[in-house]
Amino acid sequence: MLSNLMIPAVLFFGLGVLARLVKSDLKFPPDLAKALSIYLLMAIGLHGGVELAKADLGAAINAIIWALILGFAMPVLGYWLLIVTRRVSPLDAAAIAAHYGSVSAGTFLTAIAFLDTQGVVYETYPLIMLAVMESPAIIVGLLLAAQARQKVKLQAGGNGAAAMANGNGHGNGHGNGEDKIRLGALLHEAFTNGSVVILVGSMAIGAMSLPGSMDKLKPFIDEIFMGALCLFLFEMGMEAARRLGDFKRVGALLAGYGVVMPLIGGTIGVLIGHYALGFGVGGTTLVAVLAASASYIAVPPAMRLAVPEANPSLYLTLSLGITFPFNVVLGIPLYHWMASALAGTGP
Amino acid sequence: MVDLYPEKLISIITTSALEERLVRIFRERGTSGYTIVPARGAGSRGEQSGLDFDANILVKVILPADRLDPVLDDLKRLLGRGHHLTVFVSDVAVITPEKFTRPFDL
Repeated sequence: MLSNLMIPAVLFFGLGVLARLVKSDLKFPPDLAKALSIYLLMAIGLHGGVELAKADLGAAINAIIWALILGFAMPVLGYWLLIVTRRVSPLDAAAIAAHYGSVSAGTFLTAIAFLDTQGVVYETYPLIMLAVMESPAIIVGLLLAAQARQKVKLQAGGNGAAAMANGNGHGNGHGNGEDKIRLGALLHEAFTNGSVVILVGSMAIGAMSLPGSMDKLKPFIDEIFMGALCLFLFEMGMEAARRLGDFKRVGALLAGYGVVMPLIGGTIGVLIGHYALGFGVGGTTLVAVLAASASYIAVPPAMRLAVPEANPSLYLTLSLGITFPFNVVLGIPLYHWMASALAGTGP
Repeated sequence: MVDLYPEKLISIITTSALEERLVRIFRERGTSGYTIVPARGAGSRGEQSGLDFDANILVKVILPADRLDPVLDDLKRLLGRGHHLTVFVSDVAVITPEKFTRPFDL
């Protein structure tokens, strides 16, 4: 199992964590992570688009349907689990659940690096699922938050203030008209989200381009891809380690949620990938990674806008500080092992 | 001696996610312009890393005293909805008062 970690991308992630732990003065230029994530999404989109042009439409639609099911069901499951633990306010739970329903492209790309190193082939359909699964969780998170606000309103007389752990308690005064406007704006944002546009757009370009014209792009999308991923994970390692300090703030039970939730999602993903979608070991692993990963780029700003009462340090610590490192280091090899066991090929 | 004219300066520290919302308020309330710079720091919601998807901004708007209240009302409404903003108003002096009466186009 340990040898699975010895790939440059994961090692650079570790270096990032280490750099932060030894308090190195290492700093990346501002916006580097953003620039790299644009490149990574574009490259993987182009790559996938070429493959998808040869793909089967029925299988693609099937993958999209299951991506939607996962995208809508995971946050509800995550919300329910959080409410049962009674550690956070309902609004915090809604915001956290939205992160777990959405996906992390960084984790997905690391999984691809992992599969490539292992020489495992994988289907391209999970890439469409990656694009589809960015948005539904944001909508579910919003609906859960609206429901939670109603609950808070009902208890407002008694211990309402306690339920709104971090909000300053004035959240009840706004009218329904305003809510509707905000829902429209948020839906717009969910579907025109930057990463969705890059990913879907690049896939379309990859699928439409003449085969010969794509050859010229090969160095850009293939040869430097892993290097860029290493740089990206290097910085994300530092960012994750920064969040690890907030561990105390989150508490052991909630930190445990950051590990249990991806395990549940990964298991569901493996089952869906294998049984419902009929993917091979590679594709099944990727579906598991999609279901297990938590967003830390697209969802946080959306939740800041839509659920301002929720505490950002909770959801950022969980998704970026706990779940992301867990998936990169342990989750991916584990989901691969589960997928192999299910396929009966052995790990 | 150059003549100085009194104006009000609103400073806001908040998440970059609210930028568009704030700009809309400034436009609707007829302010003459605004300045936004990226900001980092720490506060009640933990450290702001300044990472692009977790960034704070510092917003500055200069406006005549009689236009102050409508903007502050809108900001209070955002606060009431649970958004986190640090807002403070200060007295400043300018040398070109006419510059701050003309609403900006966008």
